[in-house]
Amino acid sequence: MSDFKHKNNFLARWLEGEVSEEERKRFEASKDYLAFKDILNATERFERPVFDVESNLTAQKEFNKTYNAKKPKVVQLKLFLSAAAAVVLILIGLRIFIPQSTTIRTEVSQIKTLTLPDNSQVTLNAGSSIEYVPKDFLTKRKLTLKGQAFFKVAKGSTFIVKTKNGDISVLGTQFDVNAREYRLEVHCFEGRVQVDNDKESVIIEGGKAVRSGRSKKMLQFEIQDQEPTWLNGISTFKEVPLKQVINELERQFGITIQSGDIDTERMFTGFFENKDLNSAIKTCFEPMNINCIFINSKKIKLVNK
Amino acid sequence: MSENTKSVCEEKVYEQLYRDHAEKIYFYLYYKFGDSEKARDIVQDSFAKLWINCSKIVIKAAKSFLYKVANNSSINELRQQKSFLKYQNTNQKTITNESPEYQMEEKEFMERLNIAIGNLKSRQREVFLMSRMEKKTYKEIAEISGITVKAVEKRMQLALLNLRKSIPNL
Repeated sequence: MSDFKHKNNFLARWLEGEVSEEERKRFEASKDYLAFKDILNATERFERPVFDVESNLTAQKEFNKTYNAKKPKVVQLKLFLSAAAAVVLILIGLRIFIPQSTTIRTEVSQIKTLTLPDNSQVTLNAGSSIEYVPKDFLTKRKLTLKGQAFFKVAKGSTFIVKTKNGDISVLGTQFDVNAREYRLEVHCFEGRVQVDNDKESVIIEGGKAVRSGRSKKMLQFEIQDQEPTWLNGISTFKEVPLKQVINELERQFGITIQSGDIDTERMFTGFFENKDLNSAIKTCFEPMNINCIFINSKKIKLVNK
Repeated sequence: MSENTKSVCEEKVYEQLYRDHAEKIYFYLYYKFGDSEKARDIVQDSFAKLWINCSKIVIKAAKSFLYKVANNSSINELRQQKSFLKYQNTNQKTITNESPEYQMEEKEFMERLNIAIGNLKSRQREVFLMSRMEKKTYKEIAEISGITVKAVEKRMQLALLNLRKSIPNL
């Protein structure tokens, strides 16, 4: 008998007053009735939240104005997110295939010596940088040079120095590469070095040097030194345009030189020491009949005598 | 101008539709979710959709359009709160003196009931609360929810039994 309230939605119908008088009396005499009555009475005590129609209507009209614009924005964001996700995935993919490279650079007035993974040594002159991939370096000895560096290459497979003005490949040797602006100058101190640019390819041996300029034509000449003089703090020049000397002074001392109406294409042969600025500019410009005026400690102006 | 030729795009018409239905839809959603913020958001969304589609909807269809949109939005809504209704803390006794729960703390009873209502399936809750708090007939509820009166009865029945079960002390 206790189950009659489960049948035919009895409770629902009772609530709506749709049961017979007899059924109602029977139910309302039961203990359960009291429990349901409690539930129903309590439910009526719950408060409804307030919905202020007029203020919500005002808000609605504002909302409607932006609603059209809002919708595509959401789509665009989704699109943007999936595009971003795709880019990230591609980058992750590329990262696997394109190995990470290391860059080492020197600032002005700074020289740095480092050992490469194959035990070759590189000394970077001021304002230069090399870039290589450490992971692959042992199997493929290849690096990119900007500026000037001296290499002591450990014996092994071909060692390649790439510069924007030509590539140098060697087996095991000591050589200096200077690749600035349009210029490339390679001094070979030991072993054999092959220098290539898109016009020519030459092989030089120890005690020889090669250089190319704007025309990319390679010019060979002899050297006496056992290692680059800049390693010992001396910058040496042999028949180079004065412009190069000025640039090197700027790099070694971290200064600016205003050349004014000086002819910077004049040829210069000589050297300067990288320690003392005053004696360096004296040795460079005195023989060329050029006066140096210090505008401040870091700025020099050149005038003809 | 007859009702049929007026466009929902006319501000006056749109405002009237809002005044007629917004609150009702709001409470319908509130009973369904037990979340007044959610209900407010869906009402706003439904009326915004009505606005951008105003040229395609005739006035007579606006009401069912609004409920349809509101219902669709709520289908995606799985969130259920465990306890949601607010009630007055009056000293008035709700529990009948004869009941075996005479001793049960008023507050505890309200809280239990609140949680029990929160735990109902949303379609049972919506029917139960519309009937109890709005005093709507089963027929009216059937129209709003888009189901038959028989289905309303069924949901009501289940709601009552479930509530009874969740308050075992009674």
